[in-house]
Amino acid sequence: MTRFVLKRILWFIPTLLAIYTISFALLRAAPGSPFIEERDMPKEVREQRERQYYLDKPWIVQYGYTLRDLATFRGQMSMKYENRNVIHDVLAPAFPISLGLGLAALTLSVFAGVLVGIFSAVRRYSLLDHLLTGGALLGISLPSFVIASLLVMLFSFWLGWLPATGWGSWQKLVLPVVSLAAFPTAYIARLTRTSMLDVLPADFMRTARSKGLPGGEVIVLHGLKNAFLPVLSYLGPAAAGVFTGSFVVEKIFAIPGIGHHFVQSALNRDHPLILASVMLYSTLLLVMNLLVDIGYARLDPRIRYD
Amino acid sequence: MPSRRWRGLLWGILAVCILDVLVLAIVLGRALEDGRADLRFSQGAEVATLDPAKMTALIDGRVASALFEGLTVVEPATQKARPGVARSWDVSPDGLVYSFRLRDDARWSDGSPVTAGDFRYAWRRALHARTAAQYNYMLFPIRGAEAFAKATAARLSGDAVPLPDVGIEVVSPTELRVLLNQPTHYFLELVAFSTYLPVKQSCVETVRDGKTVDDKQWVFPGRIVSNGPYVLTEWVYKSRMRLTKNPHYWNRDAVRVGTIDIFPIEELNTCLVGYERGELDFITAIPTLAAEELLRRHKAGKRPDFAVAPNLGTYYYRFNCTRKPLDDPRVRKALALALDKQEIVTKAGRIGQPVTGVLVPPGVPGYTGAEGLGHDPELARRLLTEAGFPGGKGFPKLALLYNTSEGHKKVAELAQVSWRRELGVTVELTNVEWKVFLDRCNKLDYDVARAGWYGDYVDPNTFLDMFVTGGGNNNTGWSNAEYDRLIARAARTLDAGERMRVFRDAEVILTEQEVPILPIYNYVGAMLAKPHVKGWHPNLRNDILFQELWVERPEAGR
Repeated sequence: MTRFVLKRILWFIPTLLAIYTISFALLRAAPGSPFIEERDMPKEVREQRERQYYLDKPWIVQYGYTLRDLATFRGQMSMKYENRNVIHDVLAPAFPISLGLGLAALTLSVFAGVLVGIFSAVRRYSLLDHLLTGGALLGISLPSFVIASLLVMLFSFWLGWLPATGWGSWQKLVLPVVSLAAFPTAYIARLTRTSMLDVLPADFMRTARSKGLPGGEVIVLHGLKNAFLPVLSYLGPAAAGVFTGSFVVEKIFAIPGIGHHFVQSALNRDHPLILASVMLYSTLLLVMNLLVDIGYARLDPRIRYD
Repeated sequence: MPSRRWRGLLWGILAVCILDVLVLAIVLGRALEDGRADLRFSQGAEVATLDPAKMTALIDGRVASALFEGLTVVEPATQKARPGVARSWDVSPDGLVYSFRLRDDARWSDGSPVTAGDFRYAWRRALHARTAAQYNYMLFPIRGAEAFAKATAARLSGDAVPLPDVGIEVVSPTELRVLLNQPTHYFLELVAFSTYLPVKQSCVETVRDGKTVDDKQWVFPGRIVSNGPYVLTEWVYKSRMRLTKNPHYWNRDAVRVGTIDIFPIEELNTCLVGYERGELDFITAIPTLAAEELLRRHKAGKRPDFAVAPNLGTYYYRFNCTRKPLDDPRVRKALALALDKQEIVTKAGRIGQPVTGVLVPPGVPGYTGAEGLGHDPELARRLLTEAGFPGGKGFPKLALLYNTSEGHKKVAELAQVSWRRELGVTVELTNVEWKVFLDRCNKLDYDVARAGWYGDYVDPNTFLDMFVTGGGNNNTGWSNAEYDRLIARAARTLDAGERMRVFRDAEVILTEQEVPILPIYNYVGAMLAKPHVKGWHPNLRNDILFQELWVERPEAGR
């Protein structure tokens, strides 16, 4: 197991290097220079700005310098926010916020999703099941910006219970976390329901019940243990969705996370910020996937990595 | 009984939960300290920089005018200069020499006096190529400024050229003499602009390893030294900026709002909900649909907290004058005459933007502009027939380029309809993202392109000098020797009335005879301020002078 984990971590290096190379190439190929502005800037100003970002050098030199600045966490100054280093002054303060938001949403979606899934599987075709499955369908089909806007309208505008903007207290956390968790919750609920339905009539469940174990314990200990595997494997993509999808939610609730930079830097052609945020997201996703694989190995006795 | 693996998973879940709580605790623990500011303001996006020399955006300039004070200050309501750090000034009869006398009691926020040398340093710094200030050309009316900027650039590239003199002379610590290239009628207003704001050398430059460097960190709280009515006490990126009254400001007794919080909220609907809920007192970023509704209620006497004012800005279309058949002025005029601008304002603009036939917006004192072309489809068809396209026959399909946005799309669709209906001309809409759009405009890779321009100062020159041959913002390929001569003549003309007449003649060429551009409407600016916020005026440039605001709450504590 340890060897497997170490090997995977070593693999991060070529993977990240490939991602960096592709992103770098795409940036060079994209139309529109970062230093085109609505008001034409004097030629010497443009040249000086290009010099600051090695843009006057051949691409291979640029590639190397930029890679060095990223790999050593030295970072470069943002092209748009000129006083801010993309790593130290832009992403470092924003990352914990997005991470906290994402983890909270993931945790909520696992708990809520599994709970809903079990209930609707056990009370299959009941009114409760129909309500819950219907709700899950809504959660899957409604995009997060619609859910977020509806929540804002309802809870801050009409009811006035929760603040609509900003960050910094638990009240301000509720609406963004719920909006972000809506999709994965619904998805996990459906996954759990389906696999629980597969598991419930299985022989080992009947055996467990016939041993005299209470119904609830059978469902949670024996049923869920097997039904949870698909949920676990979904957590990798779910993490990807939550962390990259936070852009919309962060924008609507004016939360200072990294999602905004990830999208806006591309539109601004802010090269240092694009590369830094792509690398940050890639690392985050690689780590999440690794964690999911480790969890899988611990849970499913059929899977061994060594 | 739970297996070992199952227990592992439980531990895992527990670990994730603990991690959650930890991360959130750290994030929230670092969050903003409480304490409600006297005024809570939002202008949409986050400020890009607080370095006055490098500012290009209006929202940055507003914060700059709270933190820094120039030689003069422009009154929002009149757009005229009044004394700032300079208590008085003299202008030589030929309009070429400005002598500013600085007040003795002007202080930096560290208590040291603001001197003429600080201005000289700040202006030369803004010009220096190392600073790479996009708006350095705002300083080019000063004698030798452009040559100085070019020479510093050459030096950075390794050419050991001598640095030319710049017409910024420190006569004494309280007297600054500025020499200009040409009489510049708006110079007193220009010195209030962010590029001209003073910065303190010992704050901007730090000595590291025996070398003087500008580490760009000086704009953050704790380091920044400013001379305006406010100081920066907190800047949590994308969360909140807090301004606190500057105890060293010379006119501190007139500053009535003690603390101001500025919240960056990119999503305009959120900003509006925040305002309606009372989380914000004053906002200048309002979504179009809501603004339309607010305007309707305002007119019905229901929303006195909403205000809308004409701005010094024009929304227009550019014609690519290097492409056939748009190289023919008759074709351009036909397209201009056929466009139903009133319909565009009603259906796309929606907040009472005035339609216009000319480039310079109304409101420039002493200036009566050209008439421009009106809406006359009959004449348009005649001109198009003269140009060889009766009923639009044989007219090639035109591509109308705009940067991706709902508003621009709406305008483009209405133009498309107008031109097909009146002239039989087919137009294809092309939208591209902002940077690509700018690139294509620069390279003249378009037929018709959307454009907009806000004046940098209140004078026709900031609009009309754009279209001189080869001008950096011309982007139409249009060139007219007579027009160039008129703009050059206006720059030399000392008599204000005569100068305005010369500009008018130039604008006639631009918008009635040659028509390389098609002006559509003038921008308006909307603001929402709670009834307890006093002292603000909707104005031509959407300026807000925070030192003039005050708050009058009916009941304490609320």
